[in-house]
Amino acid sequence: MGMKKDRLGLGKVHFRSCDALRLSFKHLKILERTIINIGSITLGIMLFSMIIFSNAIRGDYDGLRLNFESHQSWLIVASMMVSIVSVANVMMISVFERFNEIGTLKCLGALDKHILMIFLIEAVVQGILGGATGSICGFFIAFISSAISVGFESIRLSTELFFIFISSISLSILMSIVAALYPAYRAAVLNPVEAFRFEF
Amino acid sequence: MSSDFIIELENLSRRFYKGGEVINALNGINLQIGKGEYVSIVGPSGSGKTTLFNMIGGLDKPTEGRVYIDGVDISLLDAYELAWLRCRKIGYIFQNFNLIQVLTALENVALPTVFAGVPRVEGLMRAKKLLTSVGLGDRLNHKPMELSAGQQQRVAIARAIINEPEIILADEPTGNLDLKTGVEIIDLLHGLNKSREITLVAATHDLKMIKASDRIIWMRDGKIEKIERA
Repeated sequence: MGMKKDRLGLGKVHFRSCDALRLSFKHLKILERTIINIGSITLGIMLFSMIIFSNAIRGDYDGLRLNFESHQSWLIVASMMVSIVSVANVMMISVFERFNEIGTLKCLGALDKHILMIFLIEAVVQGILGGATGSICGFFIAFISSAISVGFESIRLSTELFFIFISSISLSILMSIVAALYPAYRAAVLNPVEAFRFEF
Repeated sequence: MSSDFIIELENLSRRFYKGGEVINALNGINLQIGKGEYVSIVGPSGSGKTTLFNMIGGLDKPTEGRVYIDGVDISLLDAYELAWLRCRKIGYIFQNFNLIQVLTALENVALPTVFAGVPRVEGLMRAKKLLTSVGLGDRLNHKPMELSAGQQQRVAIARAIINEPEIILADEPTGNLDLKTGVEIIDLLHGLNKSREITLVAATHDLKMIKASDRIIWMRDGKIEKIERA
């Protein structure tokens, strides 16, 4: 056998963000899993946003300094942790269920980072939706409870509320990404041979 | 070296370590497969067919020996180059089709063009043409679950050839199909092999598939037992 070539005239594989988005959205349409994740994030963020909204509409809001009492902080942290663990759990099941698909994508030319991107996009979308529903629910609960306890005339609605809404969504996106990191990493580094050996 | 060979295996071995035991899945395989050849790999389960497939397909690395695809030692390739090889040079067909369940037939077939960097509209047009050519022009927007096994395998074949690979690796492509559908799939693969000069390497138990091939490689215990010309 004579001289062998070192490299082919090898090109690059591509995976546009819009294609990753499209594939992620197809999976998000599997409603059961998406609803569980959005629900977990909603519950996780609801307590946080409810307390700040409540402080804000009663006029206790103090800009970036969040006037939590210590027992409130503990409750908020605990509810967020539970939410992260729950989302991570559902994402991990989703990765296991999609072993075959991940292996196939890799056979078709996907790189590890492409698989990572698909799962992280799903996490971000779920974070946005969960954050939105969580803070809307939080706002209404805060509004109603404030109306009952201090009366309508003491309620103050200002542009701060919009800022709180945006912060809540940002925080829930962060929570969702933290929850998805390990499952997405496991999916990304999955060897196709292993993936196909694993039959459900 | 002769450029007529698209696949060359040199003293290829693959060992697995399982529970302190060494399993020789492949043991010193030497094989050359020519461009446009149709080769069937036959052997009992556990004979090393799938491991051999994974090696040729760049999905697994040999413990010893070399795999050359079109003259390139694929152990020297990095992850990016291997991905390109899988995307452009090799088409994979599986026993259980491995279609993406959330995508339609058309989107499944067009998927490899995404990784090849083909514009979306062009990719979908190519996919539509290919699906029509395999007789599924009226099933473009059906999801895999809505298709019969034979139709799913046709979709998988269209997906395997959309980036015009030089090699098709088919692992038991008729294993999950009834006799009549199996024959149709064999005819389709054989036709592609002849009309597009795609090198076809198929692991199979199917006698009809074996009969249609140019060469039959019999494997046993990780070694080539004999090679027959059909």
